Amino acid sequence: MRVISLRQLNHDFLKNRYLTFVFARQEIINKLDNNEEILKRLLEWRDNKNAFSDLLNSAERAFSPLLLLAQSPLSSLPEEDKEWIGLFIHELYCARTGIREKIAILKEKIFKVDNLVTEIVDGGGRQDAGKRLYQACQELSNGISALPSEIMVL
Amino acid sequence: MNLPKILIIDDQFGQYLDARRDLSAMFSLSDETGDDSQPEPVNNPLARATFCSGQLNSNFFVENSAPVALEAAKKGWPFSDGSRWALVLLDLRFVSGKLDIDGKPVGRSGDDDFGLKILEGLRISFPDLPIVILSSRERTGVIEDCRKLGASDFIQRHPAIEGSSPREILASKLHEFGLLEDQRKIIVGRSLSLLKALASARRAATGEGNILLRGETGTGKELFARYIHDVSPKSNGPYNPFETSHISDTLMEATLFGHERGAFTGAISSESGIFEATNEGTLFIDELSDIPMSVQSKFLRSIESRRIKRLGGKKEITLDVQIVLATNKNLDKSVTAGGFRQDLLNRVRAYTITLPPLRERKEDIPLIASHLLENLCKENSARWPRKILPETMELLIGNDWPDNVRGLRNVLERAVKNNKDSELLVPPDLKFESQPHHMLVTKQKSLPRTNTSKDISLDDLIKEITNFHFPNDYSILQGRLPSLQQAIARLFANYLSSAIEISKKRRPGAIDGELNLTGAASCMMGKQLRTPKAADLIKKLLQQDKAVLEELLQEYPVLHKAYEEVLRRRPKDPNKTKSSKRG
Repeated sequence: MRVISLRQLNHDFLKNRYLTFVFARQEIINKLDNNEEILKRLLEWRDNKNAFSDLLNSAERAFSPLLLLAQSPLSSLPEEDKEWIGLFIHELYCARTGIREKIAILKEKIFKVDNLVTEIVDGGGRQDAGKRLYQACQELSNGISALPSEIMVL
Repeated sequence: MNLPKILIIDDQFGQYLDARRDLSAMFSLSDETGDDSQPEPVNNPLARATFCSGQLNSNFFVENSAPVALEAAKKGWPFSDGSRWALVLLDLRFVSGKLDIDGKPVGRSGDDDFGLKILEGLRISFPDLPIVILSSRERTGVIEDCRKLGASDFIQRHPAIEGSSPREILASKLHEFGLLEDQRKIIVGRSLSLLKALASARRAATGEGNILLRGETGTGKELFARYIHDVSPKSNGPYNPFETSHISDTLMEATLFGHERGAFTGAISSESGIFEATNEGTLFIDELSDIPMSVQSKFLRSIESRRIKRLGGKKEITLDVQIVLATNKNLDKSVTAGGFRQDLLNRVRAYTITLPPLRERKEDIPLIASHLLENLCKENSARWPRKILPETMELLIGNDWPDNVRGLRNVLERAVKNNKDSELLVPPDLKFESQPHHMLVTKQKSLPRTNTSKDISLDDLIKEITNFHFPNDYSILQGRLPSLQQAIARLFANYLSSAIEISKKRRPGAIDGELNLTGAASCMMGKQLRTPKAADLIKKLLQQDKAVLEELLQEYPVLHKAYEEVLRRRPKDPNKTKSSKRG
């Protein structure tokens, strides 16, 4: 199993492959007509969807300064202090970065891309389907890029 | 139509064919890399693309490698047919590591800035190669670093869907920065100096500004003016050339600006001038320095404000004209001599394009000669096709062409008219206006002359060098010292070569003359030198740059002989000798 970061998955799959593919093949996606090759490429989304969801679920903690409590010198604090300090700085970080709201929005975007792929695959595509899928993927990708990429020290 | 060739350096598109086909379809590129057995046909391609991963792939491990990218660039700089990369598209992030079961590198995080390392390498090895960054990253986050390292611009790989298409975006970058031949096939050639001048012309051709073309006689200033018109937003409007030398001073003002009835004796009706006639088009004014002082002030106002008043008129007429001006004179000198206004000069030289003389783009001579020969044969109802023998071409390339393409045309025209029925162009057909350089005085190869004395005087050259202004632009200043040192070394060698030539002792029976190095050094210093001093001076001049010295000695027997002679006379470094004596 490959260990991959959210940023890396966004770059390697969405930006490098999927967005380029959807943009280049908009016309074909609009009139899919059992095009096996395009169908296969479209469904690559489903192979990566769960990874996006899992990484988003862990994103709130992944970039939290809470993690610094596990490292020296903060790791030497008494456990009871670590508990309340941890809660305090994590809540502060969430409030300051709005990360929970951002993650919720990104989950909606994943849902939107997923629905569009299902609609195209099951319904055989329709006018503007390619354009709408490209825009949805681009919004998801830009949203992920806007997340913190390292632990935030407030 | 010759499609431009572009090099795309990108880890992803260099390796994965499905992704590459997507990118090619997105930007309308015809993939010519040669590693795709089923390349997708592209309708009406914009360019021919060669992809390079910038990586080494061995034993299931992928490693980023700038030399791989540089080697790919070198292949097209130039290609064997003389053409070149029009543009390089360069990615920023390169992912390396061990290949997994899907053939993708894992185990290392991507190097976000490896593209910048390649950019630095390309800039040093190929300073004139236009490079545009093609990345999925946001422009604002990277553009400063990219520009500082010499990239021309940036393309965001995934544009907003409502904006310009990727094809349109790439086409605009090619138009602005690409090294493109004249697609109309009117300005013939593919030398770097010509392609750079054409790119400057396209950048200048905004349809609104004033553009100054500088170049020797016969370099094609009018053809360039027409090119600027044709590639500008004014291309559907009128194009009017105006030759100042063909008109008297008294008529100049009326011809340029028009006149009202009764403005002067004989003005029986109102007439528009050439400025008005060119509204929404391009006005080309040849030999700017011939505009008389009496008209220059009004001319300056017109090109500044795009408003004119007819002679005898009161009403101001607003115009929308692109103005191209040309001169083969040194306008600074004209200002000093009082024949040209300083404020007009400041205004017109805001965007200057210098057209390369033919002797600086000799690689274009075969193409130009073939093109001219075909036209001349057809114009003169002479036999065509006509083969140019290699030895004839050698003579054409060997000539210095002080009158540039016009001079070449004259020589070929005489050859065609005098030999209408020939299927060959042979050396005796060529009647040069001046002897080819390599046939002059000495049979030995001498240094190429980049300027003749009538084009630029030595005083002007010294003034130009002394007053040359280096712009405060990192990308322009970066890495130029070695080539500057080499240019200076060649300039000194050029000077020395001429001094040696004119100082030779001519004796009956010795056609080439005998070397007189003391005479040559004394000539350069303007005073009589003793032989050891003369030898030291010549040694110093030739030893400016070791690499250049080796090339010069191999290429130019006269300098080789001179260097051997001075080393024989002064084997040691005079400064070292002195200091060792002191010590």
